Amino acid sequence: MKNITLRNPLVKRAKAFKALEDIELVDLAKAGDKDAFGELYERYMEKIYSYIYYRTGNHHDAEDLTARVFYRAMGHIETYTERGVPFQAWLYRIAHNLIANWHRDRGRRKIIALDEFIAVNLKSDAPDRQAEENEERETLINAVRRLPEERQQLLTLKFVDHLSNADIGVIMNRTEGAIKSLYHRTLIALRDDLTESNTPSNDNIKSKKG
Amino acid sequence: MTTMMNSSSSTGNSGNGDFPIEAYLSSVTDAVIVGRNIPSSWAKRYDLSPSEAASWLALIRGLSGALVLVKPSKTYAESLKRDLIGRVDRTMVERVRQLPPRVQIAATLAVAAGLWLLARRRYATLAATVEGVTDENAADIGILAQ
Repeated sequence: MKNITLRNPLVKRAKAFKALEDIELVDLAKAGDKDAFGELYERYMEKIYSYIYYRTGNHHDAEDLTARVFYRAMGHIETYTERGVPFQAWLYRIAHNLIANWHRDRGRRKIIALDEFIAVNLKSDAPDRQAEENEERETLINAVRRLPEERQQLLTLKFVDHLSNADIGVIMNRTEGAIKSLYHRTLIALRDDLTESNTPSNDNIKSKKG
Repeated sequence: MTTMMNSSSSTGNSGNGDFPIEAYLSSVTDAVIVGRNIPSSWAKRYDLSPSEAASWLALIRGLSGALVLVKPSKTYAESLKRDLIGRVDRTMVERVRQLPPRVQIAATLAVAAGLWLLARRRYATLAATVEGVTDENAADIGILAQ
């Protein structure tokens, strides 16, 4: 079976691409090599999709915007120059701009249920424990979604895409130190929000107001 | 979540100048994300009380468990790639896996039957050759005996 695979020139080429750096693939893509762009797509599509999903809250818009990101990247790849902004960061910036437009067009607040996500990602065997974990996770995600836009972006890049502070800094156009500081403030805000929402007296006040 | 709520009143500015709380939180987050152990000495190093360190850790672990990679469907991923670059490169195994289970079984049986026929034919040829050689040897021995 190995011989059959290696005889396929397309597969052989795809394997060769895997060894190349992003910038080498970008150069090939600029020269019109669609397969090189295909490799870049393979490398980043899931991350970009996930990033958009957390920022929009549904698969439908995540699919639509992910497609737009890659179409835009492919259409403008000739204008891309590294200059301290890696290709990955460039993609995230495109995604960020499209998401910003998406929110602006809809004029909606970014609190959107992620119910599918909650159900899909739970991995507990005991039903009781599962329900408890589910509830905790939902509370936490709702608190995340109440955060300002840039803080949500930071948490998504850090926890979902596993990017370093330096990489996040490039994407968000900030220094590494500024990202660390923003992360600290984000965690404090999140902790305060969770404390507030778990305080019975606050619940009573809220229900009286409501 | 309960542990998260048991945090101290500190806003986290308890770290000293060399090791500020920002650095502590970043280090702990990196360790949680890659699944590394977090030594208890870190909290002391950053001048945090054990309860405060535990509350941060619980919050960070909660985030790590909640914010996970969400994958699109394979159909969507392949369809978009096809639209972008015109084709999707797949190995033979991947192509077979895309087929319906009944077709996969039929294909496997057909390949197995083909291999069996080839092996059988080769064995028959080999047996005939060996038989021929044996007959020739017997004839030679007969001639010599005469």
